[in-house]
Amino acid sequence: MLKLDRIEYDYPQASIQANFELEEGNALALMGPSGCGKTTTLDLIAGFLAPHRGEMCFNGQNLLALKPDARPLSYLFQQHNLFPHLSLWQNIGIGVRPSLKLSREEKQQIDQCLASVGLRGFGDRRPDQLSGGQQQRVGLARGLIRSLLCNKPLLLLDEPFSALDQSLRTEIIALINRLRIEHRLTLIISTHQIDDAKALNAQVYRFDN
Amino acid sequence: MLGMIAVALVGICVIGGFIGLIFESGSLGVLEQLSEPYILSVIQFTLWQASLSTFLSVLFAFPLARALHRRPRFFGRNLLIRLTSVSLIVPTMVAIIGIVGVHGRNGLMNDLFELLGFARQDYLYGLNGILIAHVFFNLPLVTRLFLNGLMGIPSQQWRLASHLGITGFNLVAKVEWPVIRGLIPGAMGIVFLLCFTSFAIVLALGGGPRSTTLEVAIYQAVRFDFNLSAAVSLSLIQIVLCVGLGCLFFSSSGEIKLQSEHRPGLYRSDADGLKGALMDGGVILTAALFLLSPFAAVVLKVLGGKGFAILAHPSFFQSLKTSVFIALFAGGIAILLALVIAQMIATLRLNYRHERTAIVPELIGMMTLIMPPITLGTGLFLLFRSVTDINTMGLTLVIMINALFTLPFALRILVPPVHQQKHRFERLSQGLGIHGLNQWRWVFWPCLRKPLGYGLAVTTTLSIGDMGVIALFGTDELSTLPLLIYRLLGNYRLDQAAVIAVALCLVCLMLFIIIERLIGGPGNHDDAKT
Amino acid sequence: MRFLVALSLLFTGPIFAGEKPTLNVYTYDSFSSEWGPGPKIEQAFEAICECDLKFVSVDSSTGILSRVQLEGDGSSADIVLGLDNSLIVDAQKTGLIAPHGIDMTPLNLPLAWNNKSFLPFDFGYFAFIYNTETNPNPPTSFMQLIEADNDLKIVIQDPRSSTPGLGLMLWMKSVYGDKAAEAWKRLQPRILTVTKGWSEAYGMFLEGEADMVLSYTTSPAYHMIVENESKYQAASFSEGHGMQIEVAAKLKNAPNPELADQFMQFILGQDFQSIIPTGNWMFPVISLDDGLPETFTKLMNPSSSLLIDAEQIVENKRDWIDEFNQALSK
Repeated sequence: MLKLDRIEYDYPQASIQANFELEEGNALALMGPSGCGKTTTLDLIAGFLAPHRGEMCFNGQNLLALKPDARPLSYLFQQHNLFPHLSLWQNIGIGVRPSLKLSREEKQQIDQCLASVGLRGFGDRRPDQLSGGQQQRVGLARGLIRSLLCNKPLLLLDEPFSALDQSLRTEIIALINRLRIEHRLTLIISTHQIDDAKALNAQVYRFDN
Repeated sequence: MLGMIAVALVGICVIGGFIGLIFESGSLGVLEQLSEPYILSVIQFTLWQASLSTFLSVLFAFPLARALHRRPRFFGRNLLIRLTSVSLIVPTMVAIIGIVGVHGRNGLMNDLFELLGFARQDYLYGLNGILIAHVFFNLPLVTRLFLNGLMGIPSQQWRLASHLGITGFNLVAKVEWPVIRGLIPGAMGIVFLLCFTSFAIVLALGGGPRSTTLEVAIYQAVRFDFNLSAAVSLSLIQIVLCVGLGCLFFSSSGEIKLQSEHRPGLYRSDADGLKGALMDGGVILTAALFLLSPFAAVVLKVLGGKGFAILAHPSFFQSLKTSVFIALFAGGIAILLALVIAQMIATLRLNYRHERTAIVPELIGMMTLIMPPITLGTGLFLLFRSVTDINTMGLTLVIMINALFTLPFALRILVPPVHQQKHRFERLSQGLGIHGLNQWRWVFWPCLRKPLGYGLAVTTTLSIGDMGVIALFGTDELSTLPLLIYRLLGNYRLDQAAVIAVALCLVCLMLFIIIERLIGGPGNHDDAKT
Repeated sequence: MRFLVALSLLFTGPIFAGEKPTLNVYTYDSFSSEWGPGPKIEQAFEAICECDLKFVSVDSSTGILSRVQLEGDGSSADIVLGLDNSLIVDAQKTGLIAPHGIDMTPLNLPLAWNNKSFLPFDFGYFAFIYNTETNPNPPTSFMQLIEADNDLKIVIQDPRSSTPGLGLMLWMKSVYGDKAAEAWKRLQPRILTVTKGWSEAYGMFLEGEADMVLSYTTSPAYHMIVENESKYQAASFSEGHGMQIEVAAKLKNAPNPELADQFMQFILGQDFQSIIPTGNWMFPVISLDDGLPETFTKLMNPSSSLLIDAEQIVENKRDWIDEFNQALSK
């Protein structure tokens, strides 16, 4: 269970507050207008920002004591999720082992993972040879493999569909739903669209501004 | 943390040099200097020549950039563009020999006059010579900036213009000018600063008190009068003027775009037609003649064949060795400092709390752009002379000061890519736990090797061509190739000077290519350029 | 920093310690260059001194002085060679110069010399050199030069950096007195450029960039003897010619005082002085056993020599240079 207990973060003009609990395997949609604190909340959970007040724990473990890379989560940003100079295979592999020294089994799993997001045989390509939707899928594949191999069961998605058209959006949501159920992922997503929340079968946490 | 140390180091060196001078001279006489009619006329001339040089460079750059943009397939165009990106690192001494060879009384231009039945003219020395040399150095720089601007205009705009029938003057006014206008203040700022602080050119072509700049007056105060208090005062005047005028230019300029977008197949409706083609051809040819003829003059002198003996002379090898040694060290130090400072700037900029603080390391790194190297060098020398041995200090100081003076260029090259790299990948790397060596290997190095290679190539070649610092510390033992050229010129060995000039150019070019390829890796290198 | 120093040591090669002592003589570059008198003098002195004589060349005469000032007490200079009569009071005021203690009776100068610190090593007369082939009718007086056609271009040297430049300024002063500023203004359109040192100016003249150059009456001897070329001649001015006496001095903090004394003594000897006429292209300060080279007797002989008193120079030098700067900066 992920628990944010009266987490607060102060900006010069305003203060962001978040207070919710989320059971393992469930999904939560953060909603509200631009600038209300959706991304800030994700950054707080991921450890890129430190809250000024409040507690945060996951399955009883205090998250605030952990550095970003030690937290049990994967984060898919709005953009720039891939290193343009690395191949897809390397982009995924670096999320498992930053030295890119991978074992044979790990390599096989990366290939399977690429296949499961519909990019079989794309491993040696570079991000700029892919469409926006394909790039998002590589990012998802990395989140997925991290949950399998590195014990990162929490997946944070920051407006993952904003750059995608409707058909791609439907396709990716279906993919996320499938992976979530298969691998028991806990999902937090920020979005403007209530439809997305519904499609993902997610609880809604609304920021009132 | 490393960034703090680097910034502190640079700051201490620069300010320390100043304090060293003030300490030694014991007094400051800024007002006293300002009340001297001669100094006033020097200030006036410095401003006048810098303004004129800037104006002319910008004026000629626009049609040239336009012609180059309109004629993507013009013969030799790519060579000319390539030249524009290295014009800054052409050693000043080489350019001076070339310019005298073209524009001197016995130069190619006068040969042409005579051929056409006119009398030979003495137009080189004084303001004319300074302007010719300054435009020679800065026209390519501004042209490059403008060309990048023009290439950044989306192709849809050209299609739209031709669709709507916008041609001729209206095309310039509605499509090109808005882009160029945004670039002008920044371009003028850079050129103005470079011309304001110009040294070797003014010393060689200025022709006496009539056309002396502050930088030369400072050199004379130190070197001839040993009047340190005057040197400090004049330096302060120069710094205040530079800062003031620099602010004026840069406050009204937008971010200068460094990356150029290459679209070879670009369609410009106004490129058709004989009249345009002739005009563009004329502009490009004139510019090419102006920019390339000095090199031709140097080569002609060499082919005269009387100067080759100097290559067998031990002073050539000694100078070559010293030059390369100084350049590699100074360039390396500059690029390391720049990398560390750029990281610091990027970190600060990306943190909304410290966004404004980022200007501090940036300004400190750029400080030497307006500092007279002579003042700094003398100050540091006086500061250290009680601590360490004078003979070994010369080399150390030359390296140090060259590193400090190429730092602004290294920063200009490294800050944008480092910032971009940090902006895009910092959190991603953090989230994925990519640290230390792995981060270097998989993130920094692949993203930064090109700008690092280009930066090191620039700082190294700038240092090898340096004349401002070595002019102060050079001795028989500590001699570089530019200093050797200067000495040979001084002893009317023009043929030999030309041979060394060509050798220096070749060394520069080789170093540039080797460093850029070795560090930057293979591939197209033109994109990373200013 | 220390690392750099260590590296630079490595690079400049080992320093020979415990071998022959090195006598450092700071001089201007045309003196020490391989086509100047330096190498021959070095050879002659090393034959008698059991030492290594090293010329450290500085780009101009006044540069010698400021270099020694810049280095201060830590300077490795034993001797400065190449200052002239117009700079000696300035040099004296630095407090870095020691008395030479040399017996000056062998001196054979056109005037008496009593200075205890500065020892003359050669002398000459300033003159404008012209090319007889391109310029058959040169001005015969300052007056004519100042009123000559604007096409006649001359190259002169900066009085702050070069002793001929300073010499010209004093020459003008002794001819025109209070009207010197006016004379400079009228001369100005004919000045192609003002160079930092003698060699740049002379080089430009030889390259054909200018019609006349400020140099010495002895310069034509170089062309006649070395190049067998007599087209370069000195223009004789009816007002008389400025005179220059070049001097050497020993430094107070000379690392090798005995060697320095020996060198100062050597300067007045036949070995040193016989190298001067065809080495530095100036007149020797003693009577040579073998006499002057024959060509020197063919040189233009100034109608009168002009020399301004050193004390007067020091009192007024700054004002006169300002006057020069202002006259030429318009």
